[in-house]
Amino acid sequence: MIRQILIGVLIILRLTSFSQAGKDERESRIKKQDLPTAIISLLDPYLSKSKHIRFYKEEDGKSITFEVKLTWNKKRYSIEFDTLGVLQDVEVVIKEREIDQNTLIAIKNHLSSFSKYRIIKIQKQYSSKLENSRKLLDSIFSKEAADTIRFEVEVSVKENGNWQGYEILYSERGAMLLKRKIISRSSDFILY
Amino acid sequence: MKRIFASFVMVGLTTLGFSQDGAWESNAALNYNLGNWKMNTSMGHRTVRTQIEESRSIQMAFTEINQFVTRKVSPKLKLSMGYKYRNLNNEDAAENRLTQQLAYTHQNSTVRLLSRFRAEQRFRTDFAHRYRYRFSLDFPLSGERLDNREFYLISSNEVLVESTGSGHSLDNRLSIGTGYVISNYCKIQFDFTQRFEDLNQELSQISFVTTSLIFTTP
Repeated sequence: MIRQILIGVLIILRLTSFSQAGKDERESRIKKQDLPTAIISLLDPYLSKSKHIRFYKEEDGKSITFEVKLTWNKKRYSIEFDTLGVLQDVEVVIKEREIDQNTLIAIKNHLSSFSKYRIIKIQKQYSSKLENSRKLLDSIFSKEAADTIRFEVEVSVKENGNWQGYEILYSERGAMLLKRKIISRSSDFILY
Repeated sequence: MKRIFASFVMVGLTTLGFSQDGAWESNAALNYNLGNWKMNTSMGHRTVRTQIEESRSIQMAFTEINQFVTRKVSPKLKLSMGYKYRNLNNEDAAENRLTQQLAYTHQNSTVRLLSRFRAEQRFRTDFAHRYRYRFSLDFPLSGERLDNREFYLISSNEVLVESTGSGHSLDNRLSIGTGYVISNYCKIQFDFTQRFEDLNQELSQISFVTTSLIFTTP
């Protein structure tokens, strides 16, 4: 009987792990030396003045990106690169009051379409078509404007009577560009 | 990470092997949605080992079935109601237990911090009110996000006050464990818990090893 139960459990485990094949996203912490050398040489001038530096590798089955998170002048930055070391974008965590008043009103007007909402986190996103990644990083860290500025708002909204997390991307003027559902970490193992 | 998991298993089993009194619990849980309600159905058992002088005995203490229903009332607050049925091995009467639960997430970043308050009404041959407060934390052991085929760590401390007609008792339960996410639908978890019982009277200790198989539907 016990043997049959064990075989049953093993079959279920095998089936559930196969069912995930092909859409696996994976983020893992890596060491600095595991980054492409182009990223290390680009970031080195900033790393010496930064705190709480972490390096991550993200894989989604199709592409690989590298992310560096650090604290610079008491602000939390996420800097994303592709495998060749080309800068994709830079995000910095900001407070509501740091957003232009008209942009904030436009964002809140959009969020008011939900019956209730709570803003969890706001990130200012910088990107550039410039091939010179160092120039972009210099402009961001010296608080000069980059080519493109967007706002990524992590928000919890009440939708059809249920609370759901979203990551919504707004333009510099507060127009919604993208909306993505947040799949939060399951809490069943900590609740019961 | 596999080494961490293996270390937990070894430390837990060794502690259980050398301790005077120990227990092994195993359970399987299924989490699913029913409209806007989250449901949790689980089954489990407890086997206890007791040692009186030279004689050791191992016996099944109970088998149980649990049902919880949970509603998220705000981004940080969840309310639950639960029912437990235990088939006690050594007693004629079975146990029925009603639970009201409030869970508050203090922080939902890489390290998650959660407070859980529980009020329980336990019906055996006697009746007991039980009140629990548990503070727990969990975090992924690789990166900031918990992905498939990754390990996580979970730790908690729970204070329990039990009140019966004949008085009240105070327990503390300290727990540490690790789990492995097999897929979006399935996790396994291994916990080691040290229970300090009757803190206000005659203190006794018991070590628990718990193995869990957790299924979650999307």
